[in-house]
Parts: sequence; C-alpha cells; structure tokens
Amino acid sequence: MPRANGSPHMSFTNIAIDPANLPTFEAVTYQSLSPVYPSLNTGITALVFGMTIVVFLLVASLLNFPLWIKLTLPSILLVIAALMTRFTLEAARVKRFAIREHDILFESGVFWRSQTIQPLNRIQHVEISSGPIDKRFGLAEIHLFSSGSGSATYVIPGLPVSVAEDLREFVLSHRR
Amino acid sequence: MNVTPGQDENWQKLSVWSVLHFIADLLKQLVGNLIATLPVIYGISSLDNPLLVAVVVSALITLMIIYAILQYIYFSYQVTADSVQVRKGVLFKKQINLGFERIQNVSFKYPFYFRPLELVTVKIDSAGSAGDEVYLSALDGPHAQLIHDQITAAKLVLGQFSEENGESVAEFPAKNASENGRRFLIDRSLLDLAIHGLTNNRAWIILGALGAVYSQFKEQLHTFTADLGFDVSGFLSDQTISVVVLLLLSAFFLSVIFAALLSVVGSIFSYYNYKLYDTDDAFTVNRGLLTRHEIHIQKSRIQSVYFRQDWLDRVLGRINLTFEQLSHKAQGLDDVKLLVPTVTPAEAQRLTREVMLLPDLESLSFTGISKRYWFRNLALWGLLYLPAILLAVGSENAVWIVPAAFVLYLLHAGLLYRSWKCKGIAVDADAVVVRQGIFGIDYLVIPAHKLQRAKYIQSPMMERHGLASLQLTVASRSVVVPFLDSALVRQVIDYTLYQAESSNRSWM
Repeated sequence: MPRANGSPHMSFTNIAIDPANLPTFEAVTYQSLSPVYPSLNTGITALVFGMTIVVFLLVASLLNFPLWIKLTLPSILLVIAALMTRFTLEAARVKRFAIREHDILFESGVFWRSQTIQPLNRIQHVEISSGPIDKRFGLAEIHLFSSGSGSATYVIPGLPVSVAEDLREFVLSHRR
Repeated sequence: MNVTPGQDENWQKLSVWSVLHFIADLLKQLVGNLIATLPVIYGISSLDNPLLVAVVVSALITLMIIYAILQYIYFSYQVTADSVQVRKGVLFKKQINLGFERIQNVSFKYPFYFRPLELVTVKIDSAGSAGDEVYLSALDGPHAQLIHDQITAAKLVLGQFSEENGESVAEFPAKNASENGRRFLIDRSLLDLAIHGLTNNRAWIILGALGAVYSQFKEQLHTFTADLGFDVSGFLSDQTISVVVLLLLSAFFLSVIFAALLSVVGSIFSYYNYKLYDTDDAFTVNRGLLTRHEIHIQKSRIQSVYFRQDWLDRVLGRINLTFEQLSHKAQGLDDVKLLVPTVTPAEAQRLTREVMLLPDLESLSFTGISKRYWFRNLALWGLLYLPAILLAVGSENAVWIVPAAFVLYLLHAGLLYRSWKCKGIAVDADAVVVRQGIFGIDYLVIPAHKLQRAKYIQSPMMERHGLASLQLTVASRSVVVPFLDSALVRQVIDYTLYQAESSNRSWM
C-alpha cells in the first residue's frame, strides 16, 4: 500500500511514458461556436459606436461646437469604430472549442492566440448563463470553475443553448 | 456515516479566561485600524486636564473589557460528528457551521497571556468563504488535542467514504493522526533567524506595533530635540558641502542598519524556536517568541513549493522555502503558506521530498528560453527610454541626461540579460521545475499531477520563429514560462495533462 500522498508513488515515473505516444492536444479537431455569435458581437459593437457618434453629433450641434471639431472628432471615432468592429468580428471568429475524453479545449485570441486546456477531473462546478440579448438569439455561455488563483473561471461563450446544456451534462458525468 | 443523536445539542462555553483572547483581539483590531483609532488617540492626547485624560482612558478600557466579557457570554460552540459550530456576536448574532470537509487546517496558538495558565487557542481555517475561520480560545491542552484529533479522525472517515477508488485511501493513511508519531524534520537557530531578518524585510512586524506609539509621541520628540538646543537648520548652514554629504550618508547608513536590526528582531519574534515535524500525513510547525504557534498543514494539500533566493541569500547560500496551499486571493484572504526560513539548498530539497518526488536540482537539465525574449524586452524598454533621450537632446541645459540615460539603459539591459538567462524549465517524473531570477535564483516546483489547467500562447511573430509561451495553473498559483520552443511547450502540456488526467490521485 502506498504511503501518505506525496511519498514516492512507484506507479508514476517518466520511464513508463514515451512522450511520442502521448495523446497530443495539437491533433484535436475543433468545433466552432454558433454561427450567430460573430455577427451578433460585431452588430453590438457597431451599434454602440454608431450611437456614440450620433449622440456626439447631436451634442455638437446643440452646443454649437466649431466646425472643425464637428468634422474631425466623428471621423476619428468612425475610424476607431471600423477597426474595433473588424477586431470584434475577428476575435469572435477565431474562438472555437473541442472536447476530448478527459478535457475541454478552448482557442481564442487574435494577436496572441492561446489554447487553454481544462482537465475534466479538476472542474468543481459548472454554470450556464445567458444575457437578455444572448437569450433572444438562443445563445448561452458556459462557465467552468476549477480551483486556483484569480482566473479560476473558464468561459466558453456563444454556444447554442442546447450545446451548452449537453456540454454541462457531459462535464458533470465525466468529472470523476 | 453514523451521527449519534443527542450529540446534536451540546453547546459548550469557553473558559472565563477567553476574555483575555477577546481583549487581545480587540486591541489587534484597533492597531490594525489605525486610521479609525488615530483621531481618538489624538483627541485624548490633546486634552489639557490630566484627570480628564485618566477618566476618558479608563472609561474606554472599561468599555473594552465589558465588550470582551459580553463576547465571552454570547460565545458558545459544539463539535458534532461532522462539523464545528459556533454561535457568537454581541449585537449581530452569527452562527458559523464549519463542516469537517471544508476545514483546511487546525492549528494551535499559545499566546503569552495564556502561557502561565497553560491554555491554548485553537484556530480552525476553512477552505471556503472569507471570514469563516473559527477561534476557540482558552482551552486546556488535552481538550484542544481532542478537538484536533476528532476533526482529523472524522476527515479520515469522510475521505474513505467519499472516495471509492483505492488510490485515494492513501491520502488518508490509516494511522491515527495523533502527535505521538511525529518525526523531527528541522529547527532554526537564532543565527538562521538573524540571517532571515537580514535578507527578508520583517521590520513591518515591529513597525506596525510602533506606528501607533510614535504618532502619539511625535510632538514630545520635537520639543525634546529643541530643548537640547540642537538647531538643525542653523547647523547645516554653517558647514561645508562635504560635511553635509557625510552627514546624509551616515544618516542613510544608520537608517539602513536600524531597519535591518528591526527586521532581525521581527524575524526572531515570529520564528523563535522554529521546529518542523512530520506527522505522517501532515507537517507540524512550532514557532514564535511571545505567542507560540502550532500549525498543522496536510501534506496532500500542498500545491506547489517555492525556493526563494534574494541576492543576499545567494551570497550566504540560503533559500527561503515555502509550501503553498490552495490560494484564497480571489476571495481577498491571506493564503495559507508554510515558510521554512533560511535553509540550505540541500535542506530545501530534503524537505520538498517529504511531499513529492524531486530529483536533484543540480543535476536537472533546464531548457532555457529563446534569446528573442531578451531582444523583445530590450526593444520595449528602449521605447520607454527613447522619449527622454530625444527630449534631452533637443534642450540646451539637459544634455547630460543623454549619457545618463544611456548608462542606465546599459545597466538595465544587463539585468534583463540575467533575467533571460535564468529563466528555464525542467520536467522530471512528477516534478515540473521552473527556474527564474536575476541575482538570486528561484525555483518553483509543481507536482505535475496537481495541474488544474494548461495554456499554450503564441503571437504570429512567435509562431514564425517556432516559439510559444507556456502557462501552468495549479490551485496555489499560475506560472508562465515565455518564449520556449513551441514543440517543447506542446510536449510539456501533453505530459502534465496526462499526469493530471490519467491518475486518480486527488489534488487536494
């Protein structure tokens, strides 16, 4: 019988494992999020910027701002809006996830592409949340909580509600 | 599990002596809340009539004592078959229900005011939400031991009932968790503690207590120096520059020596007579000069081990060893850590092997990170220095800034070089070892099977050069090793994931 945890466990040494034979996370096939998600996010960003510009134009004409401000500021805003909308679209498009027997993978990031791998046996609880807009478009996000400092949650957004629910069932039944 | 009925309502009171604990607790809160207490202290010290001062002060003290007595009266607790329950609160009643499965540590404190009475305060830490820790004060030794054993034994049973697989039984060895089987591991001499005080700033322990005192006597200190007839400004104007510089220098060194002394005293206060024992499934630490602490930490709960070495530690060949548990930072709580002050590298490795497999650190071959990491940092910092240099070049009388900034940048580049050179990672069996540092070298040791999450990060630029950053998260902390060979990062992730997912060993 093995001694207290922490003492040598002979069943685990690095001799037994050939790194070449380990399952590689690189080889996994990813699934994309709901096709609605990128267009929805992009739409919201565009809407928020559009409203900002309209509000600015209203205020500017009410308060009689000089003409050059009326022209330059909205055009700067317009450029930022275009860039941000483009970025939001790209950021939403690159997000994807994958499920393996023992873990869940999530890929995101436009400039710094990252793949986060969350082992199922480390998940403490699961939550599905859906904001009013998300709900309207049948989307939900799943939160996976593990133990650890700060960044303890792991969120996969933009899932169709049924997929999110299936995912929760899968996680709950495979946690142990 | 078998819960004896009737054991349910067995509320007990603490000993009357616990009033001392409540008074000490109040005082601690007052010192901790200096901003709130300073106006009161100031108000009292500005009263003219000494009689009035005496009346106000004694009234406040009486109030405090009455409040402490009330706290004692309203405090009751019971230890049931599966939880510790506490009812307390004078104005706001509070009931704490601490299930055994949520209890992280049980530790004993022997404060100086309890020592003549041979009484103990038992501190029970919760693994859950903030402010849920429980203090049972002024218990006699055997009773405290009984509570400790009861909790440990119950956790043992809980562990066997909730885990079906044979592996996890090993987490709770069938041995009785009493203190009889304790094995001595290490102690720390006064010299060790003095070194610890020098290499680590422990001055705040003393300064915190002095802060309140100094603010009251500041005025008196001023009048005292004035009474001596020592006029600082007059003195300075008479002297040549060189004397002033000398004076400033000696003042600087004096204050450094003073701070170092304070730090040494602080270190001795908290770690006096440090003794670490192994109690099979836990570490037990005894330490402290005025208040003796006895802390128990379950070995299985240790998530990472940190070898910290500052430049002075490096010169003296020492390491501060920290065993890190589940982090509560997200909840704004202090983390429960076990520090072994100022040990030698060999001792540090020997102690680490008590909780996990660790190969000889000297013989491990570390993989360094790409030189591009240094180049990137050079460029980023260069961007910060550049505006200063450009501005200085343009102006007539600040041209001296140009060579100064240049020299500073070169020194900085040297530091960045060291930092790049020190970074590295090694994986061996269950141990992932991350090396970092500038003057001293730190090692972070993570048991691979305790991995909570892994992350592979890559920018397009890094991808072009076959590089990636690795982030590993355990329950105590997260660590990033940047600019590694991307194939290696993938290999490390696959390997640690395999260790975490294939073994049924619990991370708790």
